[in-house]
Amino acid sequence: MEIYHPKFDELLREMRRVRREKKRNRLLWGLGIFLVLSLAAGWFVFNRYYTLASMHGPAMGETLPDGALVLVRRTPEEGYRRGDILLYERDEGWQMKRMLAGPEDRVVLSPYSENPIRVNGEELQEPYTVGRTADAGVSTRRLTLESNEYFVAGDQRSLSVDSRNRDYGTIAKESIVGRADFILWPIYLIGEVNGGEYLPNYEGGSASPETSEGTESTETEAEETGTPEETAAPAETDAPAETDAAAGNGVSSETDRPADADPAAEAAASGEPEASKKPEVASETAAPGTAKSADGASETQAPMESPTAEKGAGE
Amino acid sequence: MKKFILWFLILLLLAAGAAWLLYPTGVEQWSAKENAELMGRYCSQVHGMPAAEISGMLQAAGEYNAELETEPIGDVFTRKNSRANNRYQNLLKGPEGIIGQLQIPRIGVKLPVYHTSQANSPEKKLIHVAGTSLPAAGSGLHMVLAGPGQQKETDFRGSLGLKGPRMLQEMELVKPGDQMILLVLDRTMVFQVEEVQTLSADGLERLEPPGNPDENWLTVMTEREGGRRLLVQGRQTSIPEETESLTAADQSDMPPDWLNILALGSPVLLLGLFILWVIERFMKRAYRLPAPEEDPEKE
Repeated sequence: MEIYHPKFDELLREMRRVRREKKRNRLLWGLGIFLVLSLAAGWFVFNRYYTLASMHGPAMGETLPDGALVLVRRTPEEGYRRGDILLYERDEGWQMKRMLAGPEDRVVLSPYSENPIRVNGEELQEPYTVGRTADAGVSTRRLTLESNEYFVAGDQRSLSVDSRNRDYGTIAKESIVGRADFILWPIYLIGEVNGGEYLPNYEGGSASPETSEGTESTETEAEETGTPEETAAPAETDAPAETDAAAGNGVSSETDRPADADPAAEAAASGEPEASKKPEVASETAAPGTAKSADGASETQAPMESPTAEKGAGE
Repeated sequence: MKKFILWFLILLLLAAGAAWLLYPTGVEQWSAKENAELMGRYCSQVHGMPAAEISGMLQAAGEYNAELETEPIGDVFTRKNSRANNRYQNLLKGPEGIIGQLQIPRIGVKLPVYHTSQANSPEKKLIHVAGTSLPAAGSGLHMVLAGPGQQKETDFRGSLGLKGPRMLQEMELVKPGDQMILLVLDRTMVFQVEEVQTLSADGLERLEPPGNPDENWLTVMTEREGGRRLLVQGRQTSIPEETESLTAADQSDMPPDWLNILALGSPVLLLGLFILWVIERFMKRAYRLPAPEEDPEKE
């Protein structure tokens, strides 16, 4: 006997329609819920842990080329270490540079020596840098950082304006947004930010272990700079006019080397035209009192300056 | 089976289209990667070179410059350069066989500079033109570099309209006042653009070297259509003079807060989409509607 179901096809169509409608509702609800969750998660992560930042300019060389996008870790609990690339506020904007020295570190700048920057008597081995400090127009000096100060420098040493420049000074801890942890763009640089592994670690928030040598490291610096040994504390009285701690830009102690390794300053003091420091091509001229590197070699390597600028300054 | 083949063809077409669109970005990223690695090795090896060796190389380059005679630039793209002798090839031959790197921040160019040779022609690479001054200390120098607008792909990719990595095709965007930076060994030379001009090959023959004997100049030359040449000429300035412009260029940006939140929350959204997809797959299998049964008595 044949059983006839006139509405079987209609029943199937209705079931399929209901099923599609339920699927659409499920998807819409699911998307809405996950969108809200993602915004909440993004808000939480952005306020507590990370932010994005992009780099502009040549200051960081090939480490962070122009247009690089990085993930910045806000105020990490473990603090900052030497070699970390810091994002900080400055002049109503932001900048990213590498931290070379932290609170209570002693920094010696000798632009014309083989090791232009020494921290607590240690030479910094930095194979990631490009260019020379000698080309950046910075002067020889020593400084001891306050408890909330950091000394930063760009990896492109000849073109970066940073803590090596007296006018720029150090950066205050309060102005630091965070530490660059991960590069998101360009594609070929995706990964962790590197370079810090070359520098001796600095225990964030406390004196560097290297300062335990105390007098010994100071004597090493004195030999290097060819001046009588001066501890950091007496140096604070030498240049009261240059202390500017109130601006957070302070250098607590600073001693200007009297043109012992700065050909420009030496020439200005002696009244000689600056052209006399060139040509580096013809000969290496050791200025009197030139800073000596640890191995005793004395060098004065003038930058390949524009000849008209040098002649104009010397007149 | 037909459905599978159809979907396969559609996916293949989509993949080909995406590859064609993404090819320029991919090539540019690849070229930037290779250049960055080359400069990384270059700088790393320069770090290990004694200062005396670097000074010696620059001194030799200075002696070469002193012997040069002042001549018009000429068209290096059409005229064979007979001044690329062995002595020239060995001057300022830094690590990786390059002289250094040219940077033009305005157009995001960072290119290694090679010596003129048979293997290194201005149609393929950025070269230093033999017979012009090498980057060294001194005055009255006129360094000339020449490079292609964009590298042309010579194989099947060229016939598909795909172009090679970016070189100097955006030089028209460079304006007087912009900077050009030349890195040689551990030295840095900064030039401020003074003039941008387009000349024919005849015009190049008549063009006198710029500036006065007390200045150093850099000319960057590239090809343009119709046999014309684009010249960007810059005068060397001292880096401390450029402090203000360097500081202005050295800035970082943080995206707006809403973009930050979206970007940082996007992994959660992607995870959620994946979960939804898994749920739908499960529901489809578990609640499949039965096909209508065939009545055996009908047969």
